[in-house]
Amino acid sequence: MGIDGAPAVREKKIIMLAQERRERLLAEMRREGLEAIVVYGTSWQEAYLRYVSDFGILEADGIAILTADGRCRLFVENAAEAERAQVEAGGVDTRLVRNLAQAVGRELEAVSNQRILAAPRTLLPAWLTASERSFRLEDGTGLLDRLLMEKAPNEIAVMRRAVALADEGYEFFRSAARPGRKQYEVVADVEAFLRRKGSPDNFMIIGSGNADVRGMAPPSERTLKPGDLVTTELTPAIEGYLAQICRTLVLGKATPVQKQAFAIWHEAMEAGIAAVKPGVTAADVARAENDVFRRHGLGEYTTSKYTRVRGHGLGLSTDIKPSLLEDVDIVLRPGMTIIVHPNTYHPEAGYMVLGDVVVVTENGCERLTRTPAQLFEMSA
Amino acid sequence: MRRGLISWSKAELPESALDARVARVQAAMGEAGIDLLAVYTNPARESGVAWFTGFIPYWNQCVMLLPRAGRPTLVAGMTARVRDWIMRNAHVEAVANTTRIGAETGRLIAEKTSGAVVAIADIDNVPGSIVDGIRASAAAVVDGSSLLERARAPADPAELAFAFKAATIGHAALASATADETDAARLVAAIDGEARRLGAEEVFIALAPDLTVNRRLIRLEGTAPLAGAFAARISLAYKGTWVRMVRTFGRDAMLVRDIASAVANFAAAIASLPRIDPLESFATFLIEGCRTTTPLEPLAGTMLDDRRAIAAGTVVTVQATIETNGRAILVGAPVLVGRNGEASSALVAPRFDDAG
Repeated sequence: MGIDGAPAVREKKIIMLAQERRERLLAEMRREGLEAIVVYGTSWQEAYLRYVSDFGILEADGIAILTADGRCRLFVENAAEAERAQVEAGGVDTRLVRNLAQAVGRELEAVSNQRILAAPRTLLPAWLTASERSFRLEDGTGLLDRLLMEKAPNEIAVMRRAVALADEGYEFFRSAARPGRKQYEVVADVEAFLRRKGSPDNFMIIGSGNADVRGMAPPSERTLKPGDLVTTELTPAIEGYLAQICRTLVLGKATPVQKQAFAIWHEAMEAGIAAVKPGVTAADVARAENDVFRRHGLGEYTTSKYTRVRGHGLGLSTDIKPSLLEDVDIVLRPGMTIIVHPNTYHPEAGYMVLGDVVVVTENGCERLTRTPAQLFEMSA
Repeated sequence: MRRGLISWSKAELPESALDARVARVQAAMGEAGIDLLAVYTNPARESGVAWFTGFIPYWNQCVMLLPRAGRPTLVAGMTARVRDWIMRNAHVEAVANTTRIGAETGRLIAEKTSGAVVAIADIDNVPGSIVDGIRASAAAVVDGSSLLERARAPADPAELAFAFKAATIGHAALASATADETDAARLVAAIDGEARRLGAEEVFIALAPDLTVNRRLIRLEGTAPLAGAFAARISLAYKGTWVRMVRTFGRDAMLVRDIASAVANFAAAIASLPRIDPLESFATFLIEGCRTTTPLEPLAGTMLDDRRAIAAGTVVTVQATIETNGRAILVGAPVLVGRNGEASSALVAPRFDDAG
């Protein structure tokens, strides 16, 4: 262990976890009679590439090809990424290429008469999906999504650590978010805290103000003021697994309006979590949350005009399936890790957030988040 | 995904500067018979749309559609709730929010121009679902990469100012760390936090914790002890403009002198850019720059079989491994490539107080 509790770099079990994922995918490939899986990744859609290659891509794009014989080849077009991947992506043959799509295409020519799946199909470079190619890429997004959602026990163990770090991160956030500080300065402090803890990555958005604030965004120069509602979604990574926490902080004492509004958010989150169990759909969970808002006359604020989703899956990306929405019929299964967050706008209090991570168990779910589900107030 | 400062400052990037860029490209479109230019963006390919509009997506993907006259439209993958944020941070005519970007872009093309010739920048690597949507509504689709590349060089004053700011942040962040640090996580935290506090949009730190064992710069998971000779690279963006800087840290006096010597050799070599032969005497070198939509695209170097042109008046980032007295010194800095026979020079010299 290092300073501030950061674990020693690239522990052996990280490599083992990557190998476990790859073996799981290879078993699926054998079952489906597949010769190759092609996965694309970029910094905002990194999960598929990470699952297959164990490489956490940051710059430009990357594509990995996993063939039935267990060989994994990673193609990247950024030189810094190629250098990193040679060390960070264990058991993977990394190549720096000029034209990513054409380089991958040349490899696929060799297996063009066999079944090849690709994920996520809609983001694949145009050159690879053009009709004149000799190979045909079937849509493998569903297969990869299932593996990303339904985690193995070792993956859930890492998720637990990531959630614990999110709890610590929020505790630090509360100390950093002070009147007079700019949003981006607060986020900078949180990022430095997470780096000290050995977490290489985080996703974070923030909001501050009152009824004028309709949502969270990347940090701006806005200075925090007494009385502000400060919302954040903080998502640190451990070994590529991202866990999120959503909380709202008042810079001072909460007003009665803020407290009444937050009570609805709390009721909605608890209703959503109570609905999480194997066999129900993502829609059931979203509906449980939204029904609370509807009962309180706030149904309008559950629509896409005010909110994106009522929660979502977490894992090798900050936002994997299932999205918790009333029109998503994905069935929850044991091993899924989900954040339930009824984040939306309140017409008098402003944008408020609250979200806890749960893991779906055989009989229901287990809440992993430990931070109290409360409207935090900044003491004087 | 981005979580540093993202905001369009009209003082730093006036609307007139963006309008001038748009006009330059539109003139080239007219000459080439192109009706619309489509430029794709996501957090890893932000440099094209950011150059036209100032807009940087913190996540998700968008397509900018530029007609031959008038301001661009943005087709954004984010939901409508962030439309106001986008409009505050993008110099565009309109924003269309949709999860079906290709289809919506195609619909807008059909609405604007029938039988349109549409150019797509970096077409090979734009998602097929988007290119298909555009093809469905266009009379012809062509590669718009060279048109955009020509329009972007040389860098204009606003772009140079962003590069200088990014370089200044990078230098200050690396200067905030010292050779006495022994823990990698703490070193990364110091550099990363300082860069973000100074306004970086994004920061990636890579380390070689012990240069006597491995010279490769990697992102650490957890931490590691720092040896007597180690190196750190900061890659950072300031409002869509990316640079890298590399610093070698040494604890003993002899190594400090070697680092100073290597930095001087580096400065002499980069002065010759766009000629690269002086850099070829180093153990390794790499030159990166933005030609179209991708930041820090490799242009030339020992890892590459071929070379891209290095345009005069543009900013490139140069990294090198310089063997000095049998030890590897890693150096890197953004460089303004000289024009009309001027020498090229680092935007900020990669020198640090405790390293000579």
